[in-house]
Amino acid sequence: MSIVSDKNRLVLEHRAMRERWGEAARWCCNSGRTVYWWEYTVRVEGNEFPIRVAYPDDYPASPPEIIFDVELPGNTPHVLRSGRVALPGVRMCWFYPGESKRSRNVWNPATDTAAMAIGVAHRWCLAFVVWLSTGNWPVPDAANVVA
Amino acid sequence: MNRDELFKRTRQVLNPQLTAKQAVLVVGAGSGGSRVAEEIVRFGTGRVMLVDRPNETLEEHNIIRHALGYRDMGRSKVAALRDRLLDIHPQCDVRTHELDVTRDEAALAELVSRATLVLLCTDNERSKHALNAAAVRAAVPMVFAGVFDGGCGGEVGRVLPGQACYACIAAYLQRSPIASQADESVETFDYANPASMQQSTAALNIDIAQIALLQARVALLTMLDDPAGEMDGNYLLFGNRAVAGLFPRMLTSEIWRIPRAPACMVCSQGDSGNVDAAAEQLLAAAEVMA
Repeated sequence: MSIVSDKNRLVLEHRAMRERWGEAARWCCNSGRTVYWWEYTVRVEGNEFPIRVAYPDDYPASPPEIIFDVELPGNTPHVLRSGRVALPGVRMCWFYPGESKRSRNVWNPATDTAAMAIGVAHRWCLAFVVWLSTGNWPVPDAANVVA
Repeated sequence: MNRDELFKRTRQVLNPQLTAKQAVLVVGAGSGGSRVAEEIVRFGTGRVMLVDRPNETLEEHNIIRHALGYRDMGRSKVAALRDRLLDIHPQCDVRTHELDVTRDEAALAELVSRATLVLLCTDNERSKHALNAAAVRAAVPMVFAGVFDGGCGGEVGRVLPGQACYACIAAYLQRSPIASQADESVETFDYANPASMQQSTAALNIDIAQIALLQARVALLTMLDDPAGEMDGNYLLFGNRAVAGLFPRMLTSEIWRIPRAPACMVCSQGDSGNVDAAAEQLLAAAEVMA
């Protein structure tokens, strides 16, 4: 399954995104129309974090990837340096990235959408701003970023 | 081979003519899947389709928890398992497929459409959700299983067309005490450095085999349309050992009836309008970025 082949899912994703974030999220694709994503700018305490919320090929079995369209310090914690989507950039670590666990902190395609990912991105960026100024990440792990 | 002689000791309990019409898709040929596949052919199943990822070979460290042994070391798991199944039931039509179910949607859909029952024997969430979506779409029953960390117990679930799908069940369980058990170990992971994450605590073969046998039992009930309503639910929880807060004593079992998740985006019917046309419009409306 993918966001292209699962037509019903595509419609639901768009509806969820527009209901939650209105027109602030831009619907985009690459020139070959093989990769689709949302562009959005997270604004936290005067800082702007442009992100792409991109759909992997096996979406919704896998969660969307939140990719920074801005450079982050090399020692930024809670990020993944690579992903499955063919787009450059550091990924926000917002879900337990292993595959074999089903816990509170895993993606669930029954209920979760890319719109939720943008909500999580706000919380992650808030934690990041605290880390920049204090050196301490205010939540211990990605589990608490998702909550 | 004499079919009458082969099923002589089980025919009075299970008529192999009933199961001979079944085509069972077994996804995952590991420690759980190999045991389940063995049981399925012992039921007299007519066709078994074995699926595992490409280039999955039997390694020495697999053997102690696998139905196969040293004589098959280095061989493709599905090919070696096919030989094992034919050694038990030579008339069974056993097909093998090397396929990454998360990457080849069309091939997976084709296999699922040819099955009367899907047995999900993989151990990662991505493949479970991918197979769930394919089974829901094809309206083919599916039975999944999982062994909990350390083999303390496990689960067997049944997904029937029109009822709660795997994603519904997973969403329900994420709010249950079972998730709390899993979260205890998740908290020890280093999210900033996923490559160094610790692995799940290993389970013994006896722990895995116990759950695999339960999966086979639920599969058999499903093949026979569960005439007596024996399962009376869609989710079996089984404790191999006592676990505080989860299994009060060893060999505890419970059967739950887990409802569909409200507006599940995987198994709900969705919009009644022309979804295809709406989706095409959305795809065309995407802004092409350099």
